[in-house]
This record gives sequence, C-alpha cells and structure tokens, in this order.
Amino acid sequence: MTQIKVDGELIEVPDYYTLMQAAEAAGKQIPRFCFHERLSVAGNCRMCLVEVKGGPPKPQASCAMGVKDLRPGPNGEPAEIFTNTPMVKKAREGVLEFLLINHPLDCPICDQGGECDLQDQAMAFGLDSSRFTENKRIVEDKYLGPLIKTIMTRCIHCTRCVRFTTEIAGINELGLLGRGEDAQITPYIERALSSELVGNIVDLCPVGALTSRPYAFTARPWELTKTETIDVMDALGSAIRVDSRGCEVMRILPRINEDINEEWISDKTRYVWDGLKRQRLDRPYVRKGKKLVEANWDEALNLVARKIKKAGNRVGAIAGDLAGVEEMYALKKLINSVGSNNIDCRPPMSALEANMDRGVYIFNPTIAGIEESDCILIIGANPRFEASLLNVRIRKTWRAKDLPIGLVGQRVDLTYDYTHLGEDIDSVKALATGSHKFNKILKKAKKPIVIVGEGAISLAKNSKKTGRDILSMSLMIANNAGALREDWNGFGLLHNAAARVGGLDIGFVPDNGGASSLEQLELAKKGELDIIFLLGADEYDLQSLDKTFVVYIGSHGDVGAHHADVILPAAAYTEKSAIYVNSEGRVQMTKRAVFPPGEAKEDWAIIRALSARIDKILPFDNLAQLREKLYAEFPHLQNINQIKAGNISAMKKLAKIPAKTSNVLLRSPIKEYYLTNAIARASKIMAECVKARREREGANR
Amino acid sequence: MKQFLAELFIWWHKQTLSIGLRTWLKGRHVGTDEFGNKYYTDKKNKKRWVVYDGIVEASAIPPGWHGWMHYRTDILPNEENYQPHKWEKPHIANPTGTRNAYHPKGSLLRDGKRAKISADYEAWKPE
Amino acid sequence: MSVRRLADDSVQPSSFSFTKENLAWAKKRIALYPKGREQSAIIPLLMRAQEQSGWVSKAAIEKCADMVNMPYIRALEVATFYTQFQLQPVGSKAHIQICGTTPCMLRGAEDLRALCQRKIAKKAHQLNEDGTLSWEEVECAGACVNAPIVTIGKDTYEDLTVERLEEIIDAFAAGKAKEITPGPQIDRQFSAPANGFTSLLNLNNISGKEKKSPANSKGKKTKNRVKSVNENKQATLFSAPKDKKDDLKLISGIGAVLEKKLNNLGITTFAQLAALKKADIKKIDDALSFKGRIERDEWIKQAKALAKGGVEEYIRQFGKKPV
Repeated sequence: MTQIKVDGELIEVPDYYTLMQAAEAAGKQIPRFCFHERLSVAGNCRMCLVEVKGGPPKPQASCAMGVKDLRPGPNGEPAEIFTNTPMVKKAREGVLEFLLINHPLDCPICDQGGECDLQDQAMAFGLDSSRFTENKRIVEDKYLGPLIKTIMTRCIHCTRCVRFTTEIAGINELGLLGRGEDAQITPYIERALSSELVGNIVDLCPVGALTSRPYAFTARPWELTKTETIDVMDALGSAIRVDSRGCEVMRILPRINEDINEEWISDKTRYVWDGLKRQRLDRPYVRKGKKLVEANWDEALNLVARKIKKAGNRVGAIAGDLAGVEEMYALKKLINSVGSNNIDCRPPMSALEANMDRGVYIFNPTIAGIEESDCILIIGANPRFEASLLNVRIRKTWRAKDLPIGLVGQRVDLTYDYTHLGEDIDSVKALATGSHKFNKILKKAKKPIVIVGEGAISLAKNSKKTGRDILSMSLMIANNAGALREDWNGFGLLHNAAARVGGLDIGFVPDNGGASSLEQLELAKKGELDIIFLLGADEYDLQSLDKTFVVYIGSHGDVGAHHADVILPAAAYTEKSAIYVNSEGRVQMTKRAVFPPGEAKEDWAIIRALSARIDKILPFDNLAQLREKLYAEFPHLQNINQIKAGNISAMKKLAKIPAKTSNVLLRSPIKEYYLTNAIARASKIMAECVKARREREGANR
Repeated sequence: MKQFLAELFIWWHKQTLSIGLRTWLKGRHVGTDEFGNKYYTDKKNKKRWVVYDGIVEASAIPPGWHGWMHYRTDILPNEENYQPHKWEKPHIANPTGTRNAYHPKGSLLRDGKRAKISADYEAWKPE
Repeated sequence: MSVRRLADDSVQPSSFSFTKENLAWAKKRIALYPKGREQSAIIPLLMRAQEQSGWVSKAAIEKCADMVNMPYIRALEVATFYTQFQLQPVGSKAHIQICGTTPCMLRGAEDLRALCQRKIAKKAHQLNEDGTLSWEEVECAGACVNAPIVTIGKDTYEDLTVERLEEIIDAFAAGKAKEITPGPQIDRQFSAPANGFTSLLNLNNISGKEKKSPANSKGKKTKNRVKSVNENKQATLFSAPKDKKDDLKLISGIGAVLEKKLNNLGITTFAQLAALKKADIKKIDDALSFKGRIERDEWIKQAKALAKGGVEEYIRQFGKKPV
C-alpha cells in the first residue's frame, strides 16, 4: 500500500492504483469521457487531467498514470496530486473548449440531451462562451444496424465504442480511421454489427453520436419513470431499469449487477419493449363455433369453471417460458385441487425429474464464479445466444488469463477461441470415460466448469433416455475433473427460459403418475384430456387439439392464443411483480413498471378467481398472502438475490456412464436468437434485427 | 332605444356613450369593411379607432384594416389595390367560445377517434 | 485536411500478392518481432506493398493484415492514419510530391503546384489522361535550403524552377527518369551556399571564386565533387627546414588546427615565423583567410621572442607564460 496525498489529504491506496482511482478513494470526482472502468485505458480525451506536485509543467492523465510511477518528494514525502487547482481547472476548461469546437449545436434535437456527459461536464467544468468563429467540420453518418442511430458529427472520438466492441463484444468491426479533425469512427464494412451486445454502445457513448434508433425522438429522460426490475428474455435475469412514461414502456436500460450482467444487457433484452405494445391480449375471448369472440370476464371464467367441473381430474397444465413463480404456484395448487398431477414447466423430453436435487439443475459455479475458473467445458450449448451475458463473462475470463475452453456441439463463433471436441454424444462419452484428449486439460484444472445446455438434455426427437444419458455423463465428467467438491461446485446446467428453475423449485413437474408436457399434448390429441391450461406456453406444437378445451392464460396472442378455446388475458413481465429464479438458482423479483392493457389481469389473480368459481378457493386473496404460503412451502424463495446451494453428494450419485447410448448430434435449440419468445416475436425491432442478420450473412456468403 | 340602453350600460356592443360622443366630435370616418365595422381617425390623423358592427371583438377586424388600425401602414385598405391570392380564405373572427370553436378529434365536444399516440397498444385480433 | 478513405471500388484491384522477393522479405520482417507481436510488422509490410504497386489498395491492406494476423479494421486504421500511404491509384510513371511548407512556398512552390495542375491534373491525387502521372502537395520534405523541392519515389529534386520541373516531369513521363540526377537541379553542391562560398574560401577547390559554367544543357550537369583539404595538390608556399619542428602552439593565437595548417604551408619553426616579411604575411593571410590576424595577435613578435630565447625570453618580454 502506498501513500499519496490528494488535495492535501493523505490516503493509502494499493500501488497498482491509477491516480484516478486514488482520487476516487479520497472522495474526489474526476470528470472523464474516454475512461470506463470495464474497458481498457485509452487516455485520449484528456479530461481527467490532474496536477502532480513536482511533476512536469503539464498535467497528467489520471486514468493512465499509476500511483507507483509518481516520484516522491525530495525528502521522501509521498507524492501529491491536486484536482482543484487553477491549472486543473484551466485544463478542464481547455479540453471542453476544444471538444465543443467541432461539436454541432444539436442539443435540442439530440436524444442524449438530459443525460449527456458532455452537457453535464460543460456545465460543471466548462466556460460560458465560445471563442470559435470558423466553420465546424461535419462527418457522414454510418450505418451500424437497425438498433443504433449514428450521427457521427457529434462524435468526440473517445473510442469507447471501439474498445467495447473489440474487447467485450469480441467483434473487430469498428475502428477510428484518420486522425485529428478528420478522425471518424467507422465500421470496416457498413452493415449491421454482428454482435448481440451492440445496444450497449448506445449507453457507453458519452454524447449523442450513438443513440437508440427505435427510441429516437420519443422521450426525454426527465419525464420517464424509472423502475428497477429483472429481465426474463433469457434465464439469467439481468438487472434492468424499465423507463416508462404513463402506461407505456419507452426503453429498457441495464442496471449494475456485478454478479450477473455487470453493466451490459443483450439486444433482445434491450429492444423487446415494442413487443409489449403489439399483439396484446387485452380482453377475454371465447370460442363460439369456430371463431373467437370477445367476451367479458364473467362469461369466460364461468365457461372455464363449467368445463373444469365436468372434466374431473382429466386436466393438464403447461407453464411457458415467461411464467413467474407465483402463478405457477397458484396453477399447481388449482390443478392439484381437482386431483390431477399433469403439470409441467420443462421443455419436451427433458431429463430433469421431480425429485432431483437442486444442484443438478442450476448453474452452480454462478456467473461471477466463471472468473475464478481455469478450464471450461461446454456440452451442447451455445452460450452466446442462449445466455449472452454468461458468454461475456467467459470471454472476460478468457481475455484475462489462459483459459482452455472446450465445446462439444455445433461449431459456432463464440467470440473467443475454443477447442472443438466433437459434435455428438460419442464425444461426451469419450470425455466421460476419460479417453478424450481434452481430459488431460480438465484434470490439470483446479476449478473446472462443465456447462451443459438445456438443449442437450431435452433432445425432443429422441427419447428421454438420451437426455438422461447426457446428464449423467456430464455429471461424471464433472466428478472426474474434480468439479464436484464442497469448496467448488463446477457443474452448471444452462437453461434457456426464465421460468424453468422457478418451476422446478416449486415442483411444477409431473410426479405420482402425472403427464409431462408432451404426454399431455398426446393425450389431448387422442381426446383423453379434457382441459389443458397453457400459462403462456407458446413453444409447443399445438396442432390438432380440437378434441380438448384449451385455456390460454397469457399476455400475447401467439401460437397458444390461436388454438385456444378461451383466452384469459394476463400481464407481461413489466406489468407484474413476480419471482423469477435464474439459471444460477438466484431468486429475483420483478417490479411492476406499467399496468397491463385493457382488461388484462395478473396471472395469479386469474387463477385465484377461477378457483373461486369451481368452489375450490385457493387460500390467498392477495399477492402478499400468496407469497406467505409460497415461502412457507419453499423458504428459500424469500431470500431475494441469494442462491440455495446444491447438494454435492446428491449430484455425485447421479453421475454414471450408461452402457449404450444412441448417437445423436448436439444442437442448440435456439433457431433464431431474436425470436425466442412470444414478446420478441411480437416486436417489430426484433424482426428488423432478423432481417439485418440475414442480409449480413447473405452478404458474407 | 335598445341601442341607447346598450350604449349606456354595456361596453361590448358597438359603442358606448363616450365613444359615440368622441366620434361625433372628433371622428372622421375613413372607411367601412365588409363586416360593417366603421373606421375613424381624428382630424390630425393621429388616432385611429373602430366602431364594431356587433360584438366588440378585436379579431373581427379583417387583415387589411388590422394593419391600418395598428399603425403599421398609412394606406387605407379601400385605397390600395391589393389583389388577394386565390388561396386566401375569408376572414373569420376568433371562434373561441362559439359553436365553431376548434376541438381536437376524440374530444367530448366533437366526434371522431382520437389521434394515435405511441402508448396505444395493438390488441391481438383473432383471425 | 482531408478525410482519408479507401479509393472507390471501381479502381480497386480484386486481389493483391507480393512478388517473390517481397514475400521473402516480408516473412523475414515479420520474424524480427517476438511471437505474438507480429502485428507490429504491419507498417513495413504496407510500405513494401506501396512500393510494389505504387499505392495501397484494399486488397493489399487485407493481405498484409492476414499476414500478421490482424483484423482488417486495425490495418485500415493504420493505413488511414499515416499520410505516407497512398490510398488511391498514383501515376504509373511518377507521383510528384510537392513540398508546400513555408521555405518552399517562399521560393515558388505555388508556381510548381500551378504547373502540376496545368500539366498533370487539376486536383491532387488525380491521374493525368494517360494515367502515368499524378501529384500531391505534402508537408516539409526536409531540404529547405534547396527550396523549392519535389519528391518523386525515394528521391528529391531540389532548387527547382518551373521550367526545370516541367523538364523533369516530361522525362519521367517519357520513361527517361534515369537521366535526371536527384538532388539540386542547379550547379550547387547539395546545400552549400547557392551564390558561392562566403567562408572557407582558400580551401582548395571549394572556393566559390572558381566560376563554373552553369548547367544549361538539357539534363547534363557536371558534378562538382568536394575535395577535402588533405588532398590539395598545391605546392607549399614555404619550404620547411628539415629536422627542426617547433611547437607553434606556444604562440598565443595558434592552436592545433592552425599549427597543422601552417605546417602544411611549410612553416614549422619559430625562426620561419619570425623571419616573415610583409608579403609573406599577406600570402599566409590569403591562403588561410586570416584577415589580418597575424598582425593582430602579434605572431611575429612572439615568434621572434621564442626563437631568440625560448620560453624564458617569452616570459621576459610578455610577462606571462606562452600558451
């Protein structure tokens, strides 16, 4: 620890600190444009200049200068820096004056107004008037995709976007060409950037050069209500902030959560908000004859209640990808109350069973734990598109240290180098028996991680056995590699849907002879199931269900609504407060930002109302009571942001190598990243992203 | 009689007693517009005023006379040869408070559907 | 002040490859850098590509980037940063770079520029009709004493006039580039004073007083080699006595260099110096360009004293030790 004096105050900081970190440790705020904690140091904006006592006559860039590089005083006194002397003030004024020379007078029409770093710093540190009387330079706008609006004249060349796309997103497409006044941020070829994280450069850009194209000209930041909530587009539960104006969600921004998404969110999370305004179910529908007709709540609920009473215990329920724990709990209680156990939240043919230990189906090492790992094996998953922020973390670790990564499955571009170990189950078997080349690397690792994709254990075309085999073999690989220890649990199952782990936690799975989702659909087709409840379940093949009475409880009119006999409109994830458990097993709660449109109600309330009509009233009247009951049965769900760890010995028991395996290719179940759930499919922005991606890939061939 | 009472007690109909007196004493009638409002100026051409034909409403003055009234020009509209364009509509006084007042579409006082805003969601329709 | 961009696709070649020698050179060049740092070789590779084709095309940038394992955008950043890289096609016979900075400007670079605009193309970087010539204005080329200058390829052509430049351009266009000697285009020894020497006049063959005929024939110029003092073949003005050599440095005003010069002229003893007559003094004065120093510093008096009684005599006469 070194001593350094900041503005006369003596503090002790680690000697690898930069002057900027030391100043912040002393409580002084240093303005900056190009420096960002999660990116490499560029030092080109010169806004962070501080005066170093006894240093050269020019101020030093505090983001780049290290504390240990400062010379001590003549008698050994600690080095001194100043952040509030006239020299520093003059330096800041000068930097801002230069930046504003070529900066266009766009504030009234610039989307960044109100949240612009340049505006704020010019107010705080700048001069009051300009001395510039010549013409300003202009720059042509570049096309970076349907998500980013570029007005490059406003660019101040901080290169944050270049560093982000190169280091964190892993695409080498942006660069700073030319120099001086003629410097321009350009892509190599002007087409949509190929990363799923490009929306983050909109946050990073300190001025309005890169702004969100769908959000352009719609709102000012001071009129928006900010709600801190959780994202459900994938199973990671990234922390987001929903900005809404009245009843409309205007945009979605990331929140800082060091454990999951740091400061980034994927494009799907960020731009799916316009899907919340399209294809909404806003009133109950009832099928009369062949057509769906608008109805009111009484009519719809009464009809469903009549059907339930007639059906006895031939009822089933499938929970979709976006269902929260509360509604799954309510639905489970409802279905159980009529004597049925046909409930399922898992994808078809899933190998996960009712009584499996939690450790088997959560991502045990945690996302933050990836940074401690020294070897990663990925089986049947494409983390880049299934869990983008997890991929960011793997890439971050791969950049920071020598991290061998192996992938069994389809050869894809993950933005980092990996060894492709094979495409099918035989490779998994080889790894499990220890006969694969990669086993040597696994053995040497002290904290290995084995990631199994949800697609690998639910290969729908085959029997459940294949999925089960892969699960057991993966556990065996993890065990042999030393990943199943009390001090380090390196086995992680990577889910694709936000509802999965929550449903598994509360037991929304068929046991005691209940039918799984596929089985329910089979029974329904044969006419042996009288009612089936779809809680937002749109990822299934729902053809030929005309013999069954289908009740769809969801927010968007997708596949499920089309085949439904009764539609009960529910709330989307920004419109309700619900518990979601992410892939790590971390319990998180969303917060309501806006109200559901039209006649839509919250899902648990619909189920509770239904229970009243069939005279099997569920034991709660409001959300708090529901949660009380929920916590009583599953106490770990009340610990928000905590993870209940898995049991190592239980996991070890499931590790085995089956005698015979039927060979099958491991493929990621995600066909189109931008269209994985109902809300994304309703979104026009996502459709444009698909179009841009196809154009880009068409051009590549 | 009605006019006299109006002139005596209220000020929003044509003219009051004092305006009438002043007009009779000092006023020189310089012109009348298409609505019947009469325009006067005093002997020295220093002051200009109008006596309305009906409700005293400042926006009832047509544009040509408006310019003269506000001392923007000294040319009387009935002495200039301004040819209006064919797209110029006849002048109407401010309709606020009258039946012709403007209300946006979707307002209670008018029919029609409200203009679309970004917060309007597109409901799903079965087809 | 211009935005540097790749040339339009219509002039870009579809591919680029180094010649065999260049490829071998490139591989050796890349090998100079430590493993993992091959990207540092991008600048020399791009320069060699430019020397090979005259300009750096998109295909060349991509090829060089591939050779050093660098993403294309990084290589493009390097290529657009440095103005030495020509990003559009240049004339096949010559690309004339006119220095336009102050010293050259004062000496008529603007006229040279106007000539190029007339003769080659209206705008810089544009090819002439045959595609053989192009020009651009560059920053200081570093030969300000010989202003105005142009650089063509790796050579500079200095001390230009408009006519001379026109001759040079024509020569290049006709393929007779070898007939033009680079360097000053007038009779001048590199950056020696143009109007003749004002110092070092008596040094053999460097005297500006020897008038040579100015070069006025097309393309032919006699070169004036600098001859060093040691090679002069003039006879010494005096004859030195054998065996005796005094330390002439004892005389105040004569140091080691002067002593050598005097020795070369044939003066090696105090006695010779003491015996110098006025005419001799003048001869020495002329030969060594002293301008009366001999009298000023009282060499004769000092030499007489030292010749007469050595150092003691000197001290007696002058009151101090000789240096």
